Amino acid sequence: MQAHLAECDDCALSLEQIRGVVEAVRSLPEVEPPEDLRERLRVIPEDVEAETAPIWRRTRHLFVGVAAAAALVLVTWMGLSYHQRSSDVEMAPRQVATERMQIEAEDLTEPDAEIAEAPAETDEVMADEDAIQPPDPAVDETTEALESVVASRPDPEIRRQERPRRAPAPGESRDTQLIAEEAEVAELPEAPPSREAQRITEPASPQESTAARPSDTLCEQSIAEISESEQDDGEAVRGTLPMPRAAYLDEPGIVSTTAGDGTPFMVAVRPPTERMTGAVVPATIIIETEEDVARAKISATGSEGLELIGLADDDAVFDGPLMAGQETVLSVRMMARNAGEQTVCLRVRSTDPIVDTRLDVSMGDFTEPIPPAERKVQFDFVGKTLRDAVAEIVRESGLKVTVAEDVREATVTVRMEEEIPALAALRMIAEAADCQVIEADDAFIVQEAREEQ
Amino acid sequence: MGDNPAENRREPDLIRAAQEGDREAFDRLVEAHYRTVYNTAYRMLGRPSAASDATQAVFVRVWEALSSFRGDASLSTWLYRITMNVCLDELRRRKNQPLSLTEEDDEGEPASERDMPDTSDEPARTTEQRDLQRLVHEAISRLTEDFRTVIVLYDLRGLSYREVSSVLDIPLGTVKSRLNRARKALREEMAPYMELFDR
Repeated sequence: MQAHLAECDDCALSLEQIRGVVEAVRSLPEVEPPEDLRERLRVIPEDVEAETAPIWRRTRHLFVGVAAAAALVLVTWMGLSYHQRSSDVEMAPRQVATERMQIEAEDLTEPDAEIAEAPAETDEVMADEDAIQPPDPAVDETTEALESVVASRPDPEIRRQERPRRAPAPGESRDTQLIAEEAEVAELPEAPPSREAQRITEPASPQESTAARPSDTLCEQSIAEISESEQDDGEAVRGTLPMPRAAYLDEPGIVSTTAGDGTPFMVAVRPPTERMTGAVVPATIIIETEEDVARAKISATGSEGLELIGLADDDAVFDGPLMAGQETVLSVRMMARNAGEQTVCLRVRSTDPIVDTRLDVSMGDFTEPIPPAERKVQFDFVGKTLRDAVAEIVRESGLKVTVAEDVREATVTVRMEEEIPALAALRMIAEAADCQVIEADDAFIVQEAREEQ
Repeated sequence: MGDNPAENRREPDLIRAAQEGDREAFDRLVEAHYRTVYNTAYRMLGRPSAASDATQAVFVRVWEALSSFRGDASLSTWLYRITMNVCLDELRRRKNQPLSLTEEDDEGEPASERDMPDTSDEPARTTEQRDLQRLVHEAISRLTEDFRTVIVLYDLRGLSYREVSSVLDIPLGTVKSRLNRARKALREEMAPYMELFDR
């Protein structure tokens, strides 16, 4: 990485700027809270108790007043009616009104026990909010800025969707309501976490990653799903994936999609340029959509004998939003254990709009690695020391070579008209320096030439 | 949250007492942590008045839920988590209301960094430094919620990767990569003012 930064001015500048910004962030001063805040916090227990008491309790005086007023009106009305109809049973309506008033007052004061049970309402909230592990102090605190500049692997970041919030049930706190909403979403089949489900209190959903793992069978079937496939941009393979519109998990009852008007979802894959077994090689995936995708998740699995390196546990190579018209370029490193054609199955999923489809892409034929001695090299050495010349051949081919100390500073001038095997090149420069190449196990020794006995 | 070792030593006792309804114990916990909660909320929400409201909301939730706090995580981590939830709720609530730090907020309160009291030990910040801090504060406020959250927790509040991971309940690797991208995004926000960093 340091070597790259030494060579790449853009990355070096970028890193320098990031360091400056981070330093500026860290230099932001603590601000003093307003003076009245401390007093507002001091009275929280009293305020909370007042607010969490049952509504009939909080508004007891109002209810009593209203009840009394209603009773008074009732008494007056009944009294007037009584006087209008008859004067024989003058006391009866007043007694009824008084009894009603007494009953209402008793209703208002009866369930005191509810107050003691009120804190239980918060338990559900806490079960989520404090269900976290104590932080481990042993943490790598080294800066990741270098990686941020050079590394390009995408972060499986989760984006959130807007979802209309339902009205809280009676007695339901705001957090309890939120958790209930999240639970509803979680019950939907194939439903990835919604925007609210990604609230911090929501634990991660391991089910999603395990359920999402594509099988080889599915990958084989998916080849037929590619509506278009062509060789383009050299070795890149392109496919248009069916991407239906207008299906939102947040709309009640919708768990599947309307069959497709097929919004183009372009995925181009450029296989590794060098394909040798046992070597880690990169492929490039380019994704482009014609409309914004709130959250797309792209996972990759290699065919048997092809190991994809450095992926997340759920095989994700990308998890995040896609902007219309912008290319998202990903790199996937892989290593083939077996020679022959290898494939990568990409699974592309999106929740908005809903897409779940697969693309099977050939990574080409992998071959057994060429032995270092047979790898082709081509150099022009003019007045170069034997040591440096050998070093270049070694660097290019992977040969293991030892140069005898007494001939290292010998100079050689060799021109290779064409690519030749590395061992032949080594012998050529050795001969030019009046040296010979001796094979010793899997290595070679360059030493002063001696006449054979 | 709560840097005073003496306070930290007594904190478990205070928590237990507060869980049993001891308001004085709760008030001492508030005293120990409210500045940190306020500062975190201020950087998340951008406005002093919003930070005050959020701080109040945080401690209301704490009081309501303290009885079931099990102590699996430190109180500090738990407070950060609640603070972030309160702030994210507020940000979503005002999602369609553009945040302008240069305008007066709804209380007519000047909201920019330059108007905040300086409690640092430096004798006097230069105008340029104040401007830079104001710009950084505003740039943070323009970041997406996710990016803002990790910047505030890691770079500003000084939490470790693992602590951020616990607070946000996301994998450690995600914290690191999100922080990287957040820093890049912040650099982009600050791009017009890069010359200030050279001074």
